[in-house]
Amino acid sequence: MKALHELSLTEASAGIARRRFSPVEYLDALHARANEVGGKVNAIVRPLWDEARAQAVKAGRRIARSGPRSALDGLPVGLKDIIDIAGHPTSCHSRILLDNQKSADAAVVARLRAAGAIFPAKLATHEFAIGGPAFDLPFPPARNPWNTAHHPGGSSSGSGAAVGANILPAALGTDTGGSVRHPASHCGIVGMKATYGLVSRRGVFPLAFTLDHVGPMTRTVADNALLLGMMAGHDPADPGSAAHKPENYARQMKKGLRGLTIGYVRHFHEKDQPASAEMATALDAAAKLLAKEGAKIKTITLPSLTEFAGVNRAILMSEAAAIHGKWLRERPGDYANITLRRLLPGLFMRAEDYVQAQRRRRELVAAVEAAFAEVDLLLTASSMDVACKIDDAEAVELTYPRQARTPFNVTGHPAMTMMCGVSKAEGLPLSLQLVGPSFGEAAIYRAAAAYERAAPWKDLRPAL
Amino acid sequence: MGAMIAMTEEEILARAAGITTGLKTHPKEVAEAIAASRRMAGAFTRPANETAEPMPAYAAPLPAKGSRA
Repeated sequence: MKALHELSLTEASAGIARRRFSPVEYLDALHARANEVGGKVNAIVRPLWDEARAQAVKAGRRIARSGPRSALDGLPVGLKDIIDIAGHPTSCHSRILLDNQKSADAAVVARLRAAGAIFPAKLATHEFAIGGPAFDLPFPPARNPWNTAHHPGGSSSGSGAAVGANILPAALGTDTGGSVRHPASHCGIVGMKATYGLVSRRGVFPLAFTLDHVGPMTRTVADNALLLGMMAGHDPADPGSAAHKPENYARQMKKGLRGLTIGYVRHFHEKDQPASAEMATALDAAAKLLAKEGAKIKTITLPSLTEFAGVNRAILMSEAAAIHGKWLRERPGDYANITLRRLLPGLFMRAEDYVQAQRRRRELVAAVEAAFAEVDLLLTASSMDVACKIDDAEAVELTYPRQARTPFNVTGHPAMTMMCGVSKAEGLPLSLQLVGPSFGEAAIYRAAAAYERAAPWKDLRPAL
Repeated sequence: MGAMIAMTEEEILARAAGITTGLKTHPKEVAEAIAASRRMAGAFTRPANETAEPMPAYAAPLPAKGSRA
């Protein structure tokens, strides 16, 4: 039998609805878990347990009186510390914004709060969601719960580590070049970057306006679908918000794979950025399992990863420079050195290069759209390697090009990363990525749920 | 007429980008950034059609509620 802190959102929701335990008991179990292992993974930069406990008490009374407000009522969700919560600073894990007090919730937090969710912690991030694991910042970098000597992925590093370590059942991350899916890949959890504009970015510190997404990070596919369903919705105050009706993403999850055609993009990990042997084998095994469960698998060719990465970088650097230009010019020494080195090139990008990248982007979008005329979903690699050592700067640097996540920030299509094995050599998670057409999240959850049911990884957790 | 001051290419680019403080305090990082920006600018194919529209296309705002238009 699972301990309370090991329960998923869905399991905890059912337990609370059946009065087997209260939101306070669940939260206290997670708090105890945080006290036990938190110092090993450094996931939390600002604990808010007392405030969350008061909210859990209220939720418990409310549920006893009139039943739960939603399936999230009284349940905790962690927030990457670039997402605003009223009454607390949003530090972006930076000394530049240590006192950046916020008076209002981000739109996505307000939506979750209205559904009854509570927020026990602000979580570590790479500085401004772009740096890397840095040791010269006010907070230490988060570490991988599967092996704390290793990188948890980033930039939503604390979100990945907290969920992977069973400190929280769910957290929000942000994803501009893969920052929800990278930690999901390395921490053995489920991370979704939904269609651009599906989740409001209002109240989230921007990195690159046309690439930024907010996404749910959970241990199970069902939890991810539940959380995204509560996060999604049109926000007229976010200029990029899509006027798309929220859906019940869980509805199709039991349908199975029969009738779905999945395009397997082999060249990403076989030719463009050759993956480790274990990762490549795990991806082939996942494709076989999806076929065995009823999907038709077809090889698909897209433009090379280099093209997508080049466009992503040119756009990201230029847009980020517009946000950070003043601080880069006036106080460069206040950034971690790794962040400074990542942001500075943006000051030297030419306007023409930015526009050229946005023109090429349209061609890349068209190429991916053409693939979706042939298949329902795409299967690709997420990371090409398992997590490297956190203090190996050269290896950390390589994790950024050696991935297949940025294509779908460039195109805006929804993409999810989940575990597809454990490396025998290193005992660290292996991962896959499922990609859908715009607003095709329900089909991704359907395929991911079928894979999760059929594969033996669901209950594998790190022994911290 | 003032005397010509010899500047390196890095100094010229850093001045043009307004990063004179950074050039003094972090010269190595600024030099790396200039090189990186050149690599990034050449890291993707330019569309062959010179008149291709970039993404995202500009869209005029819809008339606001209560607009006199």
